Amino acid sequence: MHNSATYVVPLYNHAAYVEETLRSIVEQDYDDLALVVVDDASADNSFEIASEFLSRAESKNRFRCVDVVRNDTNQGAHYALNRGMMIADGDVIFLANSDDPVPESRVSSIMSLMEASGAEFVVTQVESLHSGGFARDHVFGDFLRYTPTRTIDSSPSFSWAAARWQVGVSTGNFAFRKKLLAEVGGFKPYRYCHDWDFLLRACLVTEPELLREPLYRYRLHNENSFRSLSEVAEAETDELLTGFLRETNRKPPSNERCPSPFNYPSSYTSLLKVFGLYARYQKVCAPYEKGHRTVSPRLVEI
Amino acid sequence: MGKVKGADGGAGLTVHLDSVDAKEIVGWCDFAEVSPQEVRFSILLGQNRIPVISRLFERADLRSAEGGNGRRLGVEIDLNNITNRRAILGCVNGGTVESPLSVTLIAEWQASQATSRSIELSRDEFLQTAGFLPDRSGQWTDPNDFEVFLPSGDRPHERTEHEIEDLKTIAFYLPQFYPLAVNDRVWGQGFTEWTNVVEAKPNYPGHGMPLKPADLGFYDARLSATRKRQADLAKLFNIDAFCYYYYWFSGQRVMTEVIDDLLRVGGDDFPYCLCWANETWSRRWDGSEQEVILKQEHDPDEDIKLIDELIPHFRSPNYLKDRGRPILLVYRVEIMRDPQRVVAAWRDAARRAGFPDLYICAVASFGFDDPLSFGFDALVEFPPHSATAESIDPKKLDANPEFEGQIYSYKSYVDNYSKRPDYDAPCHPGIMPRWDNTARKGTASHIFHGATPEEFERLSQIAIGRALKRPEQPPLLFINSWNEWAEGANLEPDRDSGKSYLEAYRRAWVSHTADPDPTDENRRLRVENSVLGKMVEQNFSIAAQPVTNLEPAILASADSQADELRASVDFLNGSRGFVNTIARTLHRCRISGWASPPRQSETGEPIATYLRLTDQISGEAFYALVDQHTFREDVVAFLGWDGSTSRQMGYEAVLDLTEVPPGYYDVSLLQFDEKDGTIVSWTSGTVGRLYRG
Repeated sequence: MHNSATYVVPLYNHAAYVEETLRSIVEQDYDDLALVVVDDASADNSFEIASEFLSRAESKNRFRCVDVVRNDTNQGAHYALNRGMMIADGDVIFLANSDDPVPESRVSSIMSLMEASGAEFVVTQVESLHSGGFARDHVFGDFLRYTPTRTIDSSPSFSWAAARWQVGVSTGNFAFRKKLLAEVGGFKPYRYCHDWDFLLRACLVTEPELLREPLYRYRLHNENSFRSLSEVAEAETDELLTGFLRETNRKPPSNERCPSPFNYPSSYTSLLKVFGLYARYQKVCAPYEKGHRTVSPRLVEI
Repeated sequence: MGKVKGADGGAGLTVHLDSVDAKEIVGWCDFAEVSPQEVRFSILLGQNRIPVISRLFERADLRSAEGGNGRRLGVEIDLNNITNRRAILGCVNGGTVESPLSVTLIAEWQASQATSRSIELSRDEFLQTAGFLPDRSGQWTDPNDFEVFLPSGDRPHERTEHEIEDLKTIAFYLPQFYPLAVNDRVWGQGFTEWTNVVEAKPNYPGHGMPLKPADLGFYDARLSATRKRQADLAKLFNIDAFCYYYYWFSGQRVMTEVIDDLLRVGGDDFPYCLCWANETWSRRWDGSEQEVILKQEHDPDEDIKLIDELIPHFRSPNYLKDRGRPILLVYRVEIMRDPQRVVAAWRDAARRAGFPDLYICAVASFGFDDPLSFGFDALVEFPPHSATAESIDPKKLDANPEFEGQIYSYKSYVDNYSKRPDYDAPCHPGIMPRWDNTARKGTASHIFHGATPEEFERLSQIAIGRALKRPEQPPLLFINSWNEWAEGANLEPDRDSGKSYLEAYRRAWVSHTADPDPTDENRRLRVENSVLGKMVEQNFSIAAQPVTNLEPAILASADSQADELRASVDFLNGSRGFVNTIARTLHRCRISGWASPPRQSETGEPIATYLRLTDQISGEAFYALVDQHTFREDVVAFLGWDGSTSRQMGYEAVLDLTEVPPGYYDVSLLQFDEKDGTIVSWTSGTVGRLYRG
């Protein structure tokens, strides 16, 4: 059954890369494709470059429709993504980062997988683009090449892997059916972890699938790619994992592979221990048992 | 510039608006004599008032401003805050916000309010720069809000009720099931509740008196075994906590054993809260001032000290709290003197002890119905105090002619409960499974006739709905009681009804959840099994590597040209591979760790990594090939190596030791160029120890 696709590209200060990215979307080998670009009030001329490129006949005619919009003030990645998804009209939404060029067969491969397996949320394997020989970044690039797949293969299900860390790596690797938004909602205003939060909320309703080909190119930049070092990222991680544990313990998720005591009645706590989530589970919502300490010893004075 | 309107004597509160932009609304407030914590801010958009989340902050420019001697702080209303945005959007889409838009800041304290000047701006420009977007139908949307995609009415923040899983069912627990000195003195040696319970005589045919305890027997509440069984029973039937009566008379405590036991670490392990049973003890069992046993003086300065004894309970992880606020009840507020002062002092003490506040409730006893004016947070319904029911003529039940009590219809109590309008004040519902104090009052008792588990189930269902309905209140439901046997109000099983009242409550609770679908549960179990089966297969199917005695000719002893091999054994048969630990095994051994990746050989042939087991006594060596295929980014980062060596360097293997004779072995690793026949690198020391038994 034929499905239409829409690419949603939030754009912010990537004048050097945006044309390459947009060209790679023009060159996708899937016919029924639309494009939405949301410029988040870039300070450079990203918006002008994107508008000019997409006004050319050979660019815009290949799309079902093209929308290029601009936010009045800078609102953040989550906002640009949400705005783009509100405008998008395809059956399947593909997200992109404005600096990651898209391999030519990404859309067609993912659409084929969705049709064959019924998956509603797909991520692919990742290869990194190393810009200018930063030796340390090669480590991260290799990490991205192998570790998401290893994590998924060593977890009972994709959603278990997603509870350990963001195995989809970036929003640029997300492709999902638009109708999921009505159950999942959009992106929350997190600065670093809005992608992981979205992935986990999606896991509550559908089991994502990994396409085992490197169809997402992640551009590594000079700055430290390990955002997990940031204190803000830690606070956001805390909030989103706590929310995920609460929600999966509150009632059975409609995705029956999602980590939840309703879905894994005999193995839930053991699996949490194996994957390092047990301490947080104890703090957040474990039923009270002798030996659980919910109050720090310092506060207890008897 | 605004002044307090309508205030008695004028508190001097003024509020001022400085600016409105896309990100925030900023102003300042002169609090004068008022405490800033007690002031609530809201904004007016046009004529519409919107409560907002605001933040107070120090402003340097205010300190030097002349006039006024009160406290001045800046007020900021963050327009990125999702709650504020939803409130504004709701107002704008409600349709009564025109352009140009006037924005005004309001400060409210108690019954009075201060209003600032208004700033006028274009409505559409204000909304758009704040990030709101008009859609095709003219409604405004907020892409900042992840809920914008969810069908309206279905959004989590619009949920107008609590979920059943959040409900806390609290049953009142009377500790009077063991002998006390005061009771020994007044009622006779060995007096407990059981004394009265077994003496009850039926007042009419089919009365069902005396009640006889079933599952727990004539228990002694001091026994932790008993209390554990009570807690287990409660948990089975969705009772979440007990509320114990706390007897305290101006510093003198009575009936303390059970309560004190709760503080012992590992005591009851069941959530609880406390109710100060502050009535005077009288022989009449009704708190009257006649025939007094222990008098409650209610000296406010003494009453304030009660909190010091309660705070250790609040600190227990078992103590019931609502968002950090310990829950405390007072049974009879109307006989307290100066309760506002006492409650305020209690709240201060709780804050000083590190709690955000107290959640303190007044039991709706003896017609009390105004908790807020007395400084309490809410009422707790406590039947039969609040029960209205039809009377039944005792003659109709063929009652004993000496009977001079009252008989009511339990069914009519339930009917009236279902029809009764809500209280004005915040109120937590309270229900009773049955009620009959014949054990205490004999022929002068009050009896609710016709209490059945079915009627109690009906009542519970209604009460649970009421407890969940008010999202601004914690979802609490109280049951009178767990074990008031002498008032015939016990949930605890008795010989005639067994556990039927507990079962009735659980049925009512479950009826508030979505219908559990048994086929759904089966399906989930099948999925779990298939998913875990796959994992089991993956984990056990690693082929075992044979450990063999290779020809000594091929592997020479330490080659002085070999490099030092940096390596580690992380796990050896489940234990950490520290050299000081000896892993024990019979035939198979799991081993995992890492080693420096083999460098390219001169001839281009692969360099193999071997594990070597060397017998500690004979020196005989056995070898197993290990395949380095796991990426160990943690080790690379730790060693500070650069990207060019970021290849897979971890290994995992299952070793088959059948050919290895029993003995103690040292484990080391080496890398061997098979074409050249030379050892490229090896660990000169031992990286693990193994006992093959």
